[in-house]
Amino acid sequence: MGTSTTRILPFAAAIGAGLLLLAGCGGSSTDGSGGGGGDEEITLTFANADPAETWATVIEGFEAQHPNITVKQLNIPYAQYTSTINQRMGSGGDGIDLMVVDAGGAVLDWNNRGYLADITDLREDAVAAAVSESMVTAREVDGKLLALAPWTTSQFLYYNVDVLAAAGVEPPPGDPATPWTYEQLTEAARTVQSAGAAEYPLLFDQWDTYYQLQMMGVSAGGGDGIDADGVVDFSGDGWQRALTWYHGLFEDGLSPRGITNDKNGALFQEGKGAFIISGPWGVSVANAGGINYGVAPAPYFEGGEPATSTDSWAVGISAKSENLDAAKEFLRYLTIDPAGNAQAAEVAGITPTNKEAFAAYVEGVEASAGAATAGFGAILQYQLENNAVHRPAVVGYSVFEPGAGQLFSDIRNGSDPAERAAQADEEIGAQIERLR
Amino acid sequence: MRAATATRRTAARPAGSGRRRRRSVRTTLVALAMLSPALIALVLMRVVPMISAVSESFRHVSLATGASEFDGLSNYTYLLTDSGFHSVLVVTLVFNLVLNPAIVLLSTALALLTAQRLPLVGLWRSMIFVPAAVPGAVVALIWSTALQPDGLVNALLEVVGLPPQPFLTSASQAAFSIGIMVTWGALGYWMIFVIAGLKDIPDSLYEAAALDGAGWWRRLFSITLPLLKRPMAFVLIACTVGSFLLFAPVQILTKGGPNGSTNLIMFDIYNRTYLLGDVGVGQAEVVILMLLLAVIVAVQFRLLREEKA
Repeated sequence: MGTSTTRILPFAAAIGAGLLLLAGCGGSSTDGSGGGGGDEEITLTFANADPAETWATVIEGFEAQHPNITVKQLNIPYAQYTSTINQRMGSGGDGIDLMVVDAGGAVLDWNNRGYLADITDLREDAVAAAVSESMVTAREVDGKLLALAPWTTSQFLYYNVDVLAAAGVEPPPGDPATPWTYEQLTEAARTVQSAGAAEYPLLFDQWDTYYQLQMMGVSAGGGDGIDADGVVDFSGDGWQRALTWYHGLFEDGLSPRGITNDKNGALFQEGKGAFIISGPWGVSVANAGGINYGVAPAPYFEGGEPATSTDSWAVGISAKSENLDAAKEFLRYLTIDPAGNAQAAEVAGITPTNKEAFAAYVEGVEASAGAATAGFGAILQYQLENNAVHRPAVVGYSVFEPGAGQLFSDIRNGSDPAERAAQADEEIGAQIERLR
Repeated sequence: MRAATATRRTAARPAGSGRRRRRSVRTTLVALAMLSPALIALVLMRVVPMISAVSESFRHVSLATGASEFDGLSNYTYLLTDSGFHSVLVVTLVFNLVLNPAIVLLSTALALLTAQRLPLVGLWRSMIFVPAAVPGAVVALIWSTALQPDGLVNALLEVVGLPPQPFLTSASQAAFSIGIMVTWGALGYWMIFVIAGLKDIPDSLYEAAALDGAGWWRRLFSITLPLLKRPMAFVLIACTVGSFLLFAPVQILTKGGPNGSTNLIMFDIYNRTYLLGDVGVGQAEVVILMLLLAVIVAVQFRLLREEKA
């Protein structure tokens, strides 16, 4: 017994020590070795909320051009992304050089917390390279540029040509300067419904999200629903008009309740929808279904302004990065360099922000579906330049967005728009005030 | 004084005791070393997060600056006076009060049923157990499709001439729908524990009762159920703990809606901590949940102790 005990003791202790070491490694930060430029070996850590393959192509391209720089990804699940960045940057930010920054208030929150480096020196080149100036300026706070967006989005009205023909509905015009109104769209959906031409007359790609509904509130004259002081207002006439319209779609059975956002594209793809309001990715979704479809600009409210939701993730540089020059070089490659920007958007299948990359992307999309997508590029460019609405960079946005989502979801399920909006105004406002 | 006593005692010991003591110290060290992987895991994954939750629950993080400062009991005061949290507690408690007894009764009934001499009884038991092997997220996705307004369940209702129901899209039916989904997934699992309890009841008791002329019902109420009290108590308590921690179906299907009707406490903690960024209040809620669960575990021990006595 004594001998075996003596043998086991170091073995068991070694296992314990090994585990401790492992635990220690788990907690340690990724290293960002080296300093500025030159031929020194530099490792950049790029935190993002995507699977690694999304950024792998552009990283390969960048590393081929910069053999002394290695870009290491820190892929964080979307649901934990903000809290992880807050935690890592709040405790010193060691090891993170670049990070994706969501549209909306994240850029302001992180600027206030001192997480983001000032990259205003890239502004001039970025504006010159971007499809629209507002893509760049949407990420400015107090005149300081804090992030650059490699990707952008817009919204379109996709329609099923065969379904509309069966219902005797004239398709919406493709001219981006004269989109349909939401009233015209509702009328057409009603005709499809009474003709029984499609199971779902009107679908949205993302029910109940602020990204999807912001453009409706803005078009109806209700603004963003939150002002610069964090005052929430969904009860004003504009938002009430938009929310009452939204509520009515489900009450009247023009749009379905109980369908989750992962299913909408597939329903349109299978020919079960007459219309779907969706982003540029709607083209590849519709193509995969082999249906006969068309693309029109997103609608607006009669008497209101045309407005289309936009933006996606941007990329910022950590204020704590010890590799500022290398990080800027990577960010420049992601956005200002046409080849790099095209690579950055390639895997995600999303719209690139660089003019040249954008032109090549549009050409590819238009070639993918013949007549169906002939007007796609013109609509996309017109909307991005003329009526894109950016999510507001205001304090409290991170509280506002989920609160707005719950409001929209409840209204979709039948809550009274006025009562529920008043409740949301109060609750979201109080929550923002609490966290100030 | 104490040291002197200890020295005297040691000195009074026979020579062999020193060796025994060394051996027992060595055995203790070996035991500790063998236990160290589990102990380290326990400390890192349970104790440290618990201490961190408690300490964070006394702090306030500013959304504007990210600064975290000690804020005394204000998170608790806020939670306990917040009507939103009151409704979370009511929803969670009512949900558990209805769901857990239902699961215990149904799993006991199924265990009793499959304990009878039925043809293909193994097959029935396996079929009841299969949903327990399906991950919670998958159960939620299957039911979300079935409970869609134009889904399978409404199609079945239509076949038997009943009107379609809104299920997850209605504030009055959503919690009930989630309850059905959870019950479907959990029944088979808890049934196994009751079957194990049934197997522990000696046949001689039933034989003696049969000789005394006791019928099936009499045997059920006088022998089976009293002797099943222990496994049923275990199922009730364990199932309650599980149901208090229910998260996946709410996150996947309803996000706490419609109108907060499925805002169970775990989802509310997630919502406050990760979506609203109100870490302090989220952690205070975790502490309140831990206290609630501690009370439940205390009740469990009490029930089991009574049974022993």
